[in-house]
Amino acid sequence: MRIKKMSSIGILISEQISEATKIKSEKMGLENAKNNSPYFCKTICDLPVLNHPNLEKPAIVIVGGPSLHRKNPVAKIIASGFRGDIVTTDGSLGYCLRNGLVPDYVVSLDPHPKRIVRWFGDTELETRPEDDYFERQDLDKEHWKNQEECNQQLIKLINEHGKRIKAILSTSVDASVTKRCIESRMEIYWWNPLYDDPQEQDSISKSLFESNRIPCMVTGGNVGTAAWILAHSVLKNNHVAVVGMDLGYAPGTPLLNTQYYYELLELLGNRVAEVFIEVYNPHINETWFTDPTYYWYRKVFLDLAGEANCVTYNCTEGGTLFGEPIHFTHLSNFLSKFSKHGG
Amino acid sequence: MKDLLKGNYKVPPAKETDESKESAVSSEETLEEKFEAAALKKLGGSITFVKKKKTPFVWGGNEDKKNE
Repeated sequence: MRIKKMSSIGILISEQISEATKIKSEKMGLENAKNNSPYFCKTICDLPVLNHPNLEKPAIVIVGGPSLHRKNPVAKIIASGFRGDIVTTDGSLGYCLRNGLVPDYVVSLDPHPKRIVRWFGDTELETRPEDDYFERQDLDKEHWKNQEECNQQLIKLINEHGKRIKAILSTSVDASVTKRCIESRMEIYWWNPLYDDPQEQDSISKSLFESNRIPCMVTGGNVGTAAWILAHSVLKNNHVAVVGMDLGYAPGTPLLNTQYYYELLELLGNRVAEVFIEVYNPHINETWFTDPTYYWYRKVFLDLAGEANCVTYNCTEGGTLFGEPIHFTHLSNFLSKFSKHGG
Repeated sequence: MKDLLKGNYKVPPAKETDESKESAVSSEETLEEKFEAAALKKLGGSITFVKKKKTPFVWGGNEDKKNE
């Protein structure tokens, strides 16, 4: 990897993100696990094997990065007649449904009390405080410009198709997410995020497992990586492609449109630009940039990919996630290998 | 009043001592430490991530190794 302009403060902060995440999310995740406990029934160990007629067991994991609306991978997936598991994250579920693809699974993880339910259509949107999180980022701007309208569309789509989707919910999600999955008749399969080393004496994960008997799964810190882990470790897919897994921002993206912009601005004031890290991606001959949190996710994913019992293909066609052992390739190449009609 | 307070010699520029250099460095470090501390509260990911080499991707108690 060539980092064109090394941001020392960015790298420094990225080294602290693991600890930052613990402070930010652990308490909330454990509280949410208590609130969700009345709904615990099935776990990821109860997931039935889907009957896709492809012996090579391919899967596509659709993540909600900016490349989704830039590359529209769902159109190619549908056209190819792909036969394998389709796993989406919460953030890409609406995109899939709007474009005619009902996924087999949707994974949700983040414990945020107000934002994550938006991906499922928030029936209490009018009571929420103003939040430009969705509109501001480089997502589908046309779609997000009218927040109320797109929320109503999502509620309708998810209520219509929910019964065909298996919700793979971390016990850490806010109860509002659970409620929407139940309302839309999704089948829920639970898992605990692995908060720490379960072999340690005072392990939170061990204690959580003993209280709810729900298996713990490694997360990689974000829902996209967790969805990829589900695909190979639980669903036992041998060939797993990821799309929309940018872990960064396209060249020219205004800093305002990056996910952590407000937090970084608060920290660094007019030096905010210095924290971003430019990454030259030789596969597409473009220099993307990323922030400390996504840089950490990237490093974690690359470490985990080396331990995974599958071949991983990054078919995002953009972003910062490349390097051994990941096959960075066009989605059409993956589809031509594993689809009815090829790519 | 201003007329009475005029200086009657030119003050030489302050020399950069080792102490002042150290002070500059330590204030930079303090700034970095402040950034780090503040970052810890603001910039976390979605959920904690831990995985040691011996830990399987899915852990279901010590007796359950089927997902390893």
